Amino acid sequence: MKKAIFTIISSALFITPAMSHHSFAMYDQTKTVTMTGVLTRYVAQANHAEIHFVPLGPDGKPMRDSAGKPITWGVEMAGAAAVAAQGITVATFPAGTVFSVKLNPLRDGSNFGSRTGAIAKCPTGKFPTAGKHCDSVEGNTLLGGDAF
Amino acid sequence: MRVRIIYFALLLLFLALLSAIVPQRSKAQGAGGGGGQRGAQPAQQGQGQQGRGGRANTPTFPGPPAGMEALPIDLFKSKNFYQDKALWSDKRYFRCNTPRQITDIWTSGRIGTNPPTSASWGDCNQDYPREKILSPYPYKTAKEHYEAWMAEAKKAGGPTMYTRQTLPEWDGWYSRDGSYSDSQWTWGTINQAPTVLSVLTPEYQKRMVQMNYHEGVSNSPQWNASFCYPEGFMRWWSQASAAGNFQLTMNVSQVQFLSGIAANFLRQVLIGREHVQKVPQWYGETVGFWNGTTLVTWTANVQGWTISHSMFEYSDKLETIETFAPVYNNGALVGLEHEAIFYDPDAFVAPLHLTMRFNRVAALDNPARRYTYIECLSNLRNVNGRPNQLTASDPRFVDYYGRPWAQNWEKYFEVGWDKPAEDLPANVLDILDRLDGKK
Repeated sequence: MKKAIFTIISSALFITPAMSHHSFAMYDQTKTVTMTGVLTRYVAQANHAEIHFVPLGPDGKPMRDSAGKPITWGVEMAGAAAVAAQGITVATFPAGTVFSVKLNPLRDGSNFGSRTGAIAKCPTGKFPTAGKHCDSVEGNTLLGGDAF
Repeated sequence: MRVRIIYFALLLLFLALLSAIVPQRSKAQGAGGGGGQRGAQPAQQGQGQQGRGGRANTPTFPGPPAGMEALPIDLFKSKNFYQDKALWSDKRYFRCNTPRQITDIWTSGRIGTNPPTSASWGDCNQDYPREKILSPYPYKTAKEHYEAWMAEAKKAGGPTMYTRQTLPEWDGWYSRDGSYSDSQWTWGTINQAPTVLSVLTPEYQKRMVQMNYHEGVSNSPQWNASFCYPEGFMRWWSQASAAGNFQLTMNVSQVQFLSGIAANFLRQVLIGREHVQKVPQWYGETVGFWNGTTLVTWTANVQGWTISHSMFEYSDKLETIETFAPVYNNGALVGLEHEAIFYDPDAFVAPLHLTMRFNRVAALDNPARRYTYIECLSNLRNVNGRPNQLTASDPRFVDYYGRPWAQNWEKYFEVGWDKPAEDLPANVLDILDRLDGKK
């Protein structure tokens, strides 16, 4: 019991605000886009971790360019240690993970955004129906928030 | 009894969270509520703070507070802020926004619907007195200050010389005491901009207003970490650098502070030695001595730089005198009381002053705590004058985690070669095929 209480108090004392390392003025914070995609790479960067993914279109199929090559997007989050505390790690988000995220896109229209709110992770082998996201799939996992 | 203890512990956790995350917000809201603001609106909802961390929004006041008249020309209406120098000392020129509020005015949504002229007002009653920023000591230079305190120590039989056996045991992990937030003027969160300007020389006033303008109006924040610039010495006292949450290790000849969140701060106090470096260093060169259990330090040879975030620049003449004194509770070391006096005759009109308490939150042998050495990697570059996140399609993009060296060879020296195909991982391709209905 004493150990548990010490842990709680210690945790309280260790807490520091999750600060951003750069201004987010480059992102259009008036727009929030919800995207679902297939993870191609998780970048556990200390300052801001990133998830790179192939987004699914409104038809539920992977988005491809005119040559048929998958289009990739990226989303940046808090630092790797901070999102690890939310359960988002290299181990829990391996390549092939299907997930949904809300993001503020870059103002210049490039395929990159800044995450807002929770991430919904689809159960392995299950995908949302066209036009829906992982939060609609039974057995989904929410990370970094209580609601999607 | 056990339940009460758990409730108490949870209450502590909640209070710590609150003080860590929303000090600026609660202060601004509290003052605003008492100030009879005209046209005050509720604070905007947080915008995506969960994903990347961030700062609580500040209240939005679309117009000047009651009894306060807007200036015909201010920072947000100016065509050339250099021509407005006579107005820089008027808080209305900045619409009573603190430096931090100016930095955040675009990202917090306080710029309004017709930027920049629709920028919101801050709380005109919020400020931290100039006289508390100025040093209370009579010394004109850091050297004079250090020598005077050394003379005091000698008069008392010092400076104290410790052995490995008698050295104070301060090793451990420390964290800033949140109750000191109300006095941290270097954070830019508690002052009107003119109060900060009033302690700067004309050249450095100009530089600060230039930063205010280009962060608040041009929307071109040039934060050090955006571009992986060095943090610089004065950022040890900034809020967001988290430099005050440090790992302290010590021996007879050296006391070391290691901290950082965007870049690393390594400060070493060299006991009983003198400055020998002839060129400025990013975090200076620090010497010190013990006066009883108080550590007295003198930092010189600092590279001039910027504290950024709509605050001020400093020159390579910046020097500090600092003290670290132990705080005990029932005989146990619980923290260090810290005082810093800043001397910079180029940037400051007089020596400046700041205090903080660092709470000892864990011993070095804590099983869970680690120092994460930061390798700052960034793909932010200025595009048309503003920082922008580059993506892989930009030739300046560096794919740090994708074997960038090999990508370079492949791009320039392996064009047209017949070589093994490299594509997305097989399991990803398999999932894409399934989604395409091919499997």
